[in-house]
Formats: sequence, structure tokens, C-alpha cells
Amino acid sequence: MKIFSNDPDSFKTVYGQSFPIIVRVAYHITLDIEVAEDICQEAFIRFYNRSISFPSEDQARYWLIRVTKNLAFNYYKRRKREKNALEKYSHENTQHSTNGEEDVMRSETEKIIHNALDKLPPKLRSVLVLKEYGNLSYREIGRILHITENNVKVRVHRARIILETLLKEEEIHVL
Amino acid sequence: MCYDENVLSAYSDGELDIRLLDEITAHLEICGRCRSIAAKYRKLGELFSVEDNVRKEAFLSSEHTVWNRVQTRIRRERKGTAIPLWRRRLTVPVPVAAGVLLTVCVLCAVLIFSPETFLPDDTSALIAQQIEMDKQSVDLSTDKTLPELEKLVQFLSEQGAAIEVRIELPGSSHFEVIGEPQLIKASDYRKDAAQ
Amino acid sequence: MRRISLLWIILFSTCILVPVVSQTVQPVEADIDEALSYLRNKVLDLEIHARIIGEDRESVWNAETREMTVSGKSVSITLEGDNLKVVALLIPFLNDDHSMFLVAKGEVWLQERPGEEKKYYSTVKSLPIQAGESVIFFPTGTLMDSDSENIYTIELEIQVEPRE
Repeated sequence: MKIFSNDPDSFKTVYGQSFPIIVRVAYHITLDIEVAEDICQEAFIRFYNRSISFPSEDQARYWLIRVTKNLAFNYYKRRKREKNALEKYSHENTQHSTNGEEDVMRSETEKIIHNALDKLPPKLRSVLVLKEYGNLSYREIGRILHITENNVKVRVHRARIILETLLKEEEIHVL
Repeated sequence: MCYDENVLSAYSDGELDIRLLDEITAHLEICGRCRSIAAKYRKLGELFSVEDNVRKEAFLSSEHTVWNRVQTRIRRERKGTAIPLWRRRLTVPVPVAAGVLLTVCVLCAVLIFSPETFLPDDTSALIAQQIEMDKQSVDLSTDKTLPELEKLVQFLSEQGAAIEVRIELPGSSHFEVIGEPQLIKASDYRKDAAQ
Repeated sequence: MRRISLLWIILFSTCILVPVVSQTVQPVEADIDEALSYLRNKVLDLEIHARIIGEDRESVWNAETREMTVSGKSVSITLEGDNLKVVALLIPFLNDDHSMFLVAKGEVWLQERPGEEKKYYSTVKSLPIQAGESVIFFPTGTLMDSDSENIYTIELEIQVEPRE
């Protein structure tokens, strides 16, 4: 079924199907729910304003996930540069600052997993976030990132190996 | 026969073909090593889903928040959209339209029939001819590094054709598209690669 | 009303015709001198190194070429392998203020396994550049640590210099 990005009915359908995935993707890259909401909003506005047709709902969803991932990583890189610059000038380690409410909401496990995810290289992080939070198949991930299924499989495995090591350092033993 | 960790990772995702899945399932019954590796990957996955459940309510709330914001912005943008100039209706008085038409006809007549404005189809030949006839007006002798101007002009006159370079890659290599194409400064790439 | 309209028509036609006619009798030589002088300042040299980088980040193959072009005119590099064809269109631009930028369009046709149908990817990227500065175009993506064997990255290192 063709999807027209600026048709209200198609837009609503795609929104309902895609939002749960893209908000998770955005959140687990940026680690900030408000920023994730802004990114999702931007992605859907761009989707609407593009005024193009997609051959299927799946293709529309893949487009949204790709755009969201790119926006989230752009934010993440910008924030990292700012953090590095601040550390350089203030000679202090800056912790990722959240408001008090956020801190209460985040469980210990979440904090540890996020710290570990933060240390993964972006390309491994993308595939792992899409796999674990997006619940996407290797084939779907390959289509979104324009890589082969085999490549997805390898990257997921490498990400898990590194994650296991990082979690061990935090004394979370998976086995 | 034990299985590679890579394969067991894909097994825990259910991403293998059905025959291999069955084979591995049967193998796990008897192999402690493979069973513990598969269990490790499954537990990692469970960690993520536990962590995701904590946020479920927050994501549901975000869905409504973002929907409202998107709708507001779309409505605002629709209101603010002006009719583009080319789609606006334009009223032209008949005498003015007649005057424009007359002008266009006179222009065409002048271009078609006037001998002074005749230009040959092959403009590059004309330019080359002018160069031959009047070399003193074009300084060719002082700059030895410039390509010959006739060749330059001929190159430019090739409509739409780019310079093509064909290179054959080594036959034994298998290539894949491994990511998004990139165009970056070499200094930035090498700095990142070194880190 | 009719007299006024007629007056406007005559005035309008005169305003259009006079400059057009006067322009058509100008000698061609001045245009050629100006055109050639303009072209002289827009000639660009492209130096292109094509490389294949193996999984250990070492170059396993390379080729190089130097091409001359002018600002806005493209140079096409076609790389053909057993299961892949890459066409990279490189278009350098030299602005009047001597700043430059490079547009790279990449098209990839890939057959992942024999017998499978070919997949097509395309992209357009642009980047401001300095004269002589190296930029690298990765038409199939940048090198990634990978456990798989025989994964190669294709690099096109490009330098653009105005020909003074």
C-alpha cells in the first residue's frame, strides 16, 4: 500500500506504527527524553514536508528510523564536542547532567546500560539500539543502514562482546 | 561440533534459517559450552527489555505530546504558506498583451532575417577561427602551462560529457556496501582513525 | 484610453528593441577575449588516488590519475569489480572569491551473491575545500572493524588545485 507522507490518514498510520521505535532509538542514543521528543518531532515534520510517496509502510518507517538515527547522532556528537571543550577549559570532568526527576526515574540498571552504550562506537551502537529497542530483524536493520544482513550480524555480535566486557567492569555479570 | 559465538548470537535473535536453528537447538541439549554462550546472549537481551519496560509509560506519554506538537506545527505552517508567485493570478490589459506579442514578433523577425546577427551552429569553430585570424588579441605565448586553447574550447563544447576514467578493481575481492557514503577531509579522517 | 494604450505599446516596444538591436552588432572578438580570459581563470587540476583498503587498514591496491577540468564540469571515475560497479562523479567549483567546494555523487550497483539481483545505491555529498587540500570520498562507506573476511573499503582521495 502506497504511503503519501503529506496525506493525513497515511501520516497518522505511519506515526502510530513508527513512533514507539523511533522514540526508543532517539532516547537510547541521546539519553535524554526531552531531546528524544524534539528529534522525533523534527523527523515527523520532515517526513510530512517532504511530500513524497513510499511504496509501502515499511519503507516509510525505515526512512523515519534512518532520519531519527542521524539526527540523534548529530546531537550526540555535538554534545560530546561541547563536553570535551568544557572539560578542556574547566579542567573538570563533567557528568551528564539531568534534572532531579530524571535521576529518580532512571534505575541503576538503566544508568549502567546507558554508560556502557555511550562507550560503544556509533556504528555498533546503531545496530544494537535498532535490534534491542527497535525489535527489528537483521534484514530490516540492513535496509535502514544500507548494509548487508551479514554485516548487521557481525556488528551486533561485536557490540554484545564489548557490552559484556563493559558490564563486567560495572559488576553486572550476564552469566 | 561446536558453533561460533557469532552464530550463537544470531541464534539467540532467531535470525538463522530454520534448519540451522533446529540443528543448534538439538546441539545445545548436549553441549554445555554452547548452551552457556547462547544463554549469555539471551540474558543480555533480557537486560535491555527490563530496562525498556521501565520507560514504557514515559514513551507512551511522549507519543501524545509529540503528536500534538507536530499537528500544531503543521497547522501553523499551512496557514503561513503563501501562494507562490508563479501560481498567482495576473490580470493583463489586452492592449499591453498585444504590445508584448508585437514586440516578440519583431524580435523574432530581427533574429531570423538580420545578416549581422547570424551565428554559425558550431560556435566552437567560430571561436577557433577567430583565434587563428587574430592571435595578437589573445596572449598565448607567455603562459606555457596552459593547455592549447583550441583543445580547451573543444572540450567545453562537448555537451554534457564528463571526463571519464575507468579503473578495473582486482578480481579476487568481494565488495559490500558497509555504510553510508561519506565525503570528509583527509586530515579529519586520519585523526579519527588514529584515535 | 485607446491613444494611451497605443502610446504605451510603442514606448514599450522601443524600450525592448533598441538595446537588442544595438547588442547584436557588437564585434564577436571582445566576447571571445573575455570568455577565454574567464576560462583561463577557471581551469582546475584534479589529482585522484583510488585505493582499496583491507580489513587491517592497509592499502591492498591503488591507482592514480590526474585530470584537467573547469569549474562546474565533472570528472567521472568508474570502478568495476566482480560484484560491484561504482561511478563517482566529482564536480569541483571555483567561486569568484577563489573559494572552492567539491560535489561528489556516488552511484553503486552491487550484487551481494551470484545469481541475486543487483542493488542500487546513490548519494550526493558536498564539502568546502582549500586548494591542494586532500578530501576522501568513500562511495561504499568507511572502513569498519569487521570479523568477516574479504571486506574492503574503496577510497577516492582527491586534491583540487586551480591552474594559475
